[in-house]
Amino acid sequence: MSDDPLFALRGISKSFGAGTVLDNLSLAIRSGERRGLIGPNGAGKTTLINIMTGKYRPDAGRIAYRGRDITFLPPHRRNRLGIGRSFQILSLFGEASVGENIRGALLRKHGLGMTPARRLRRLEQIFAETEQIAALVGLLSVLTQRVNTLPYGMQRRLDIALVLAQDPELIILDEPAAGLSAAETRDLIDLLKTVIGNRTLILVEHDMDVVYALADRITVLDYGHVLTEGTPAEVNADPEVRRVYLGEPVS
Amino acid sequence: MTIPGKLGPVLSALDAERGRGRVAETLATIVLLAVVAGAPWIVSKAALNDLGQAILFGLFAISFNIVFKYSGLLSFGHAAFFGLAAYGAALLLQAFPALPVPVLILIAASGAGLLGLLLGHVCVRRAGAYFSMTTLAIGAFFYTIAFKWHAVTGGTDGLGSFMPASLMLLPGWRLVNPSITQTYELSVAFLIPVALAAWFLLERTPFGNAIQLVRQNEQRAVFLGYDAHRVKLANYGLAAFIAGIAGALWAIANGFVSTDSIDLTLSTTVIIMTFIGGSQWFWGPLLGSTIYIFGSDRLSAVTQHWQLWMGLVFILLVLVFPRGVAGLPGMLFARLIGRRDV
Repeated sequence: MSDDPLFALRGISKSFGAGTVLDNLSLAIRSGERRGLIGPNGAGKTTLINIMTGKYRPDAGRIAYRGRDITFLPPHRRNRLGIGRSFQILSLFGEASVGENIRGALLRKHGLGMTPARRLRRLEQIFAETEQIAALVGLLSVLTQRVNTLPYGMQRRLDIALVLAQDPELIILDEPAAGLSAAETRDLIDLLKTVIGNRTLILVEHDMDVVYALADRITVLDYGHVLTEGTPAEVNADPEVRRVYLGEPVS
Repeated sequence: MTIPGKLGPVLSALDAERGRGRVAETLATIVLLAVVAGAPWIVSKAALNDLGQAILFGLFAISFNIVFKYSGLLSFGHAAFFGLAAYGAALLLQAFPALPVPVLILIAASGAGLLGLLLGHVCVRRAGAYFSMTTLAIGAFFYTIAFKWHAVTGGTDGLGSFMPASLMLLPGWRLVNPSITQTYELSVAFLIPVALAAWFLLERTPFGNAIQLVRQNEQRAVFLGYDAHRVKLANYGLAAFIAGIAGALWAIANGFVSTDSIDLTLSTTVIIMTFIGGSQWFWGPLLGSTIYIFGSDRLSAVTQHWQLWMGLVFILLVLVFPRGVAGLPGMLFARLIGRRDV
């Protein structure tokens, strides 16, 4: 692999009405990198994720994935190129079972998303893979339960499972630990450490423990631009970062 | 049924979760379709005439409900597809009386399906009230064409006398002056396989799975790589195609097509039928259309103002049985065991 970034944003700007949320922001993620994105509330993290994944279009700037311009690709096309994402506010198929949720991701990945002919139950390989994915995130025992009836921590794991089921090259996690207890967060860190492998990760997270445990490089956002970027140790030592977080210690 | 190997736990538990409901549903479906198929031997000629209308409107209502139940979109202009195919079938029969009926229906329904794909491209993009309003405009537009374009549609006079004395079913197999029973059987011969195929497609294949995922959570489906617009469009086209089959059959069975088959009243009647029968069960609309047709027939024999009474009955039904007649057993069951969250 060359030094070209896997995923690059150049000069991204985005405003909502009079408020500028992102201002000429650039970011380059190398293949295999695990990048943490942090910043105080209102720094533009969520908007940035929505621009990365195609939910919003930037007012200015370009987005490239593997050297290909994807600025104007709709979300589902970006996903098919290998960009998977999770959601800060849980976004699952609540009326369906855990297995059906995972199966939905797998069917699409195998190009069977709209096949009008084969019976769902005949897809043995899909069922086997569904079990594997569920086992990976520790949901095998609740495979047939309706998602709405599961405890929150398990739903969080299913969110990760849906991303993993697609086997994406780039994983974007939007606050995967939001709403989890300390113990659940530790379990989540262990889980993510084992399942991410050598995939590229972009992690937006408030919980610094999660960021330090997973990221090998951190970008700090503030008011829509990059404040600083570096290894966790560098960022931790940066006085500017400490000032922005205003009494909220970063370590 | 036991499934060996790794699939075991998944499937057996899925069966356990939904098994009871599934068995009841399957039984109800078999009984319903058996009654529909066996009606010529059971009911009187007059009732069979009504039932013939009921099952054609039933197929139409099923088509409406395919969009409503599976894509969560409420169409106010569904008669456009029914009417287009009805007029199409009438005009085709006038021009080519020797056309075999299956070919005739396929052409008319494909026309409706294509129109659905074309119009869906615009209206399926929006959900909620936007979708409903767009379909209302579409319905009004096609009604106006049928009403105004006298040279082709006959305007308010409609198109009559297109029914040839002999109807070619298949090469070498003709119906000469078809009786009520024969047109009924012809309708059933299309209704059951078409509706069953649609049911299978939506409930048992990855295609239907995609449609249901998009309805449940469009945002997530999109980030799993599903093209939500295409998924909804495909479903809308399927529904338009089935509405077309119902419309073409309706033209053949009646030997007469008027603006009744394309006006906004029909678009709303199909909604009423669906809600009476229950939208949550695939076959609910068929139940609803039967109740509606027989109800209005009986009521109109008693009073001139039958529509007023029908409207009141509809309001009562919606208030008392929000899940329609088909939802009644489930409601009673839930009440019996004291659960309300079914």
